[in-house]
Amino acid sequence: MSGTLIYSRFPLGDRAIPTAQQIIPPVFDAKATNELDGAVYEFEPEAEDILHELLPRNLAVQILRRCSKMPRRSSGAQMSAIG
Amino acid sequence: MPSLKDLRNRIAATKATQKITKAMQMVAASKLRRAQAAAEAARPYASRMDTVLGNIAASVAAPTRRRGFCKAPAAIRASPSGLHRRTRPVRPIQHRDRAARTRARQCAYERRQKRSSSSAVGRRATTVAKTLCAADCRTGRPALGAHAGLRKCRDDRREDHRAVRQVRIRCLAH
Repeated sequence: MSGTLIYSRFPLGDRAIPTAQQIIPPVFDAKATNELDGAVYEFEPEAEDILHELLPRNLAVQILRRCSKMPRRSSGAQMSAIG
Repeated sequence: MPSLKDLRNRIAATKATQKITKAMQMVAASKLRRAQAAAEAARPYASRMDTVLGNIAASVAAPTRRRGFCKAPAAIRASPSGLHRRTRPVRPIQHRDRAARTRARQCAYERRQKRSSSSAVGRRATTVAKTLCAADCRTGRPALGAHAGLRKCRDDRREDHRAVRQVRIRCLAH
């Protein structure tokens, strides 16, 4: 099973660029995973259990993160259209 | 040709429309500010979540490179056995510390397998590691600490984590 989130990106102001991002299975930033500087932790409960709990939550967070920019842009467009 | 009354009406209508538009613009501006603040506030959480999951996923993906650390059960915090062991180092480990000892043995096993080095992270684990090492140093013979592959402890307080009072003890392997 795989899932792709398609959302609008606004790199240059008002113009929306449709962007696709794979969210299932999740792809993690290599930079982020190197943060621990080689130290690897043992988890309690097991890492698998934590992932089992957190991955669905992360899915919601990532979708919300992408969507949270849209009302901002719509208000911005409204404002600039009036002004 | 429109009459004077028509012109007056038109001017009044335009002014009314202008007022409405101005109000709409102010509403949009306030919504924009609020949306922007909400998006900014959500960003650290989302990116941190990504990082945490990335780290967990990496450790799940590569278990052979795992380094163990002693993690004590919650009971150690309430247990006075740490104090007891200072005066009676050869005393058998307390019942409530059994999980800690098991964990220490596991660490020692992993170390023998050349799969890990040991370090204690967190207050509970630190307490156990300190106690084990102190007992070894005092008696001059490797006992409990050796199980965990510990010889010496060093406080390695992380400046950036001082706010959460996280103490990391690095335990040097034999």
